[in-house]
Amino acid sequence: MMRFLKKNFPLLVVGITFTWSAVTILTARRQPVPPGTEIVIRLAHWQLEAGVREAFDHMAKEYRRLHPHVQIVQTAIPEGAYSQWVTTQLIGGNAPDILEIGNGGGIPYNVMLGYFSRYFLSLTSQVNQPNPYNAGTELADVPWNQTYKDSMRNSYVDELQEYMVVPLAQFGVRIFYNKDLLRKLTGRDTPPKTFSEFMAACETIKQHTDPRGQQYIPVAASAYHLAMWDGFLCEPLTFPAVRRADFNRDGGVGNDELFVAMRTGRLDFDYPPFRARFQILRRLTEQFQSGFTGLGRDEAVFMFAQQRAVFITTGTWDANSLDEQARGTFELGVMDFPIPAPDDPDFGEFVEGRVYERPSANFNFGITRTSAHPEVALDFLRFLGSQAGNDELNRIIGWIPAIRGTSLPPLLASFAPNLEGIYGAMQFQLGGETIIKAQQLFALFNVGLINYDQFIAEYAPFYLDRGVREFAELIRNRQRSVALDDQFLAGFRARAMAAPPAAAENLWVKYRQLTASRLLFRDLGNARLQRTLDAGPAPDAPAPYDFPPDVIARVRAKLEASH
Amino acid sequence: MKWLLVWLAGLAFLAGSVTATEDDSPAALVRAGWDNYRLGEFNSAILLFERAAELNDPAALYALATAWNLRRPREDRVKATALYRQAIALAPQSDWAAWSLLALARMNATLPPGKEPPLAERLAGYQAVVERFSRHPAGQEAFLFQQATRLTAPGTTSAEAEAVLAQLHLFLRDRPTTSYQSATWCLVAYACEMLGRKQELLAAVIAESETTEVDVDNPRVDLSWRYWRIATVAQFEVGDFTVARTYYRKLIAEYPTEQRVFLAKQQLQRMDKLEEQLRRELPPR
Repeated sequence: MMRFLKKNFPLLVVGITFTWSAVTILTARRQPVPPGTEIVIRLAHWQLEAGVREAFDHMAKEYRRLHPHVQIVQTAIPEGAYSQWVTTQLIGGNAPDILEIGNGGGIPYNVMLGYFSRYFLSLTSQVNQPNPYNAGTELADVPWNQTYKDSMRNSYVDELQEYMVVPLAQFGVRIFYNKDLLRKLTGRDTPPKTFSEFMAACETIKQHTDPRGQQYIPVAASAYHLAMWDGFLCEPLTFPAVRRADFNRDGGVGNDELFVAMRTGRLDFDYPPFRARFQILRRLTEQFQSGFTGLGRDEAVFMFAQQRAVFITTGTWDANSLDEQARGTFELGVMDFPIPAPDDPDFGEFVEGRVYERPSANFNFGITRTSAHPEVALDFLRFLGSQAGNDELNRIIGWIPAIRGTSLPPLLASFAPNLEGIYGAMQFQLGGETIIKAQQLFALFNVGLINYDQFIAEYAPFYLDRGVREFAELIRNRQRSVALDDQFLAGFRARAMAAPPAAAENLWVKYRQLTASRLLFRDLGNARLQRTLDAGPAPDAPAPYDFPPDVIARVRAKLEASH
Repeated sequence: MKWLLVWLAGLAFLAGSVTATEDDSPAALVRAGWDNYRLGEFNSAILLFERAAELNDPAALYALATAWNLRRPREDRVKATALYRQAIALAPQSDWAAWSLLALARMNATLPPGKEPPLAERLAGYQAVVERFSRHPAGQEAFLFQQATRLTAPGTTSAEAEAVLAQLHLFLRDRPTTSYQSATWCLVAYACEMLGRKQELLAAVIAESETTEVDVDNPRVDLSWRYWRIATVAQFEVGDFTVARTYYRKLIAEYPTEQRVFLAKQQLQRMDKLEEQLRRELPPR
């Protein structure tokens, strides 16, 4: 017997594992369903945050109240394994009816496009019709996509020219703080509103020690959190650069435009808004715990939950989890980023407004082609994406509803997106070498090993020199992708040519627009920038948003005429 | 034996991956082939197109040529060229001939950086389509590609830009109802910008906006960018603050969550301030 076991051990292990897997799968598939169930709709997602599974369970029950023959079964898969799991399910032809898909699932965009084409149903015609679950509300006759705060912009897949997913929530980033600790250490009942108030509070916090004698940390942070602080508080100070370097006047500054502005002397790293970004970042990181760049997201959250720090920044996705950790221990508060006040002596002149946040719905779900009841799957998504349904779903999870006319959970009142304001304009990396160099120096800057002058001294000459090659490569890379656009458009054209007359007209409109934007106009902006670069240094050239003398003369003449 | 099994398994997999079609007509095979092409299944697409092409169907020849031309990786430009020519020879006045000729021009014009043929050769490729199919969408596309290439070529002179501008106006005059009006006006605007013809530039960006075709399904296609462009050209190139204000206000009213709303409001204030300052400088009446 022992000899047999010894000889066949590997085979036995494989056999036992296989049997265990088969039994597990079969058991999972044959979950008991309530009597009267005729249709089972399976839904899978990767959201293990507090509240999500409870919310889906609750909504499934509510849906069953309306449709007693339908049972909704959810499966939550850890984010790290989600892409592999989804891939095997889709390829195996046994994917759930409804799948969460989108950023965060670990599936690269180009792979996701393939999945959309092969394994998911297009939802274009459905989202262009009213959602029946909005009956009796002001959205009753509004096409479903228009009931979304972002008009479902993110659900539309350009490459397919179809709506493929239904979003169910919006996300935002703010600062969470420990109300009790803030009050105890600083005497403040309200959170700091301006940057100087915030810094004063942080300095006061640092002067206190906890019961174990350890100094309190004002801000719990990690490399993950740094990007949020930079994006919402520091980089927006560079907004004035838009008026100096937005050569194509599209309202933003691309990394190519910034390089041309720098290379031709129109801008440099000494530009006060650029310097301000780094100065405010330094002041901020001085309030983080030491060694924060080496820590992960969870370690910072742990420090906050342990009441060793007063502030932490994160998004709505963590709101409920933080709230649960704080419950019974301390009161959790949410505040906006403390942007410098207009009279701030160091940064006030660079803050022209609040920070702009583009409304964007996510938490996307698609319907798989293998679904035996796609119409029921769609109906459930309509239920979740209705005004009342979405409100309820997000109330339980603690996220921001994606539908117009819904309410925000009390904890998230400060998360209402700011729809008007400033944004960053300092993308100073072009390609391989400049990216690596900038990252190395930025890391040194963030841990206080170099200051901004040292950063400039090392980075500026490197950027201006290597940038020439990388700028050319950037342009060439854009040209290299022409073949892929030609490939896509040939397929799209064939679709338009084969379509019945009623559908063909709109397909041809799409085709012409895509051809113009992707192919015809592709080189216009590049050529404009190249001409500016080739013209050489022009530090005193009028900026794109300056009034040239001839324009001023014309305006004056008009005023004189009407005087 | 083992290799034979692997080979058979591979063959079976390949056969299984080809989308089955019960209808063996060339049209059905081509349709199924395009479905595979759009999924990136080029091997399957080629097998289907080849079956249809055996019946000397020009649509199949064009499709097969396109698959060999544009598949990545393992494209075969030589094979694609021969097939395009075959499609043209088989039905010289057909849609397939028109799109095949444009594809041949594009093949030559879009070679990877460093391998591009001389400018004249690229322009000549497009010219061949324009001359043969001047009223066909492929011919009109070829014309616009040709003019865009001339405008963006390194070292383009003012004289060249003037010549392109004249050609574009001629194109618009001869085809007042073309579906490519908006795209043509965009190129007119670009040429005017290069030549510093500011008033014409403003007229062109307005015409471009007014002739834009609206894709009703696409939530990302909006006119906010066009409003913004007209307003900034009016403000900073022409000094026509009336037009600038009109379009900034349209942008703010129609696209209130658009990123440029903040900038638009700033520009409205700047124009007010400038006018106020200039008014103060005027001599008393």
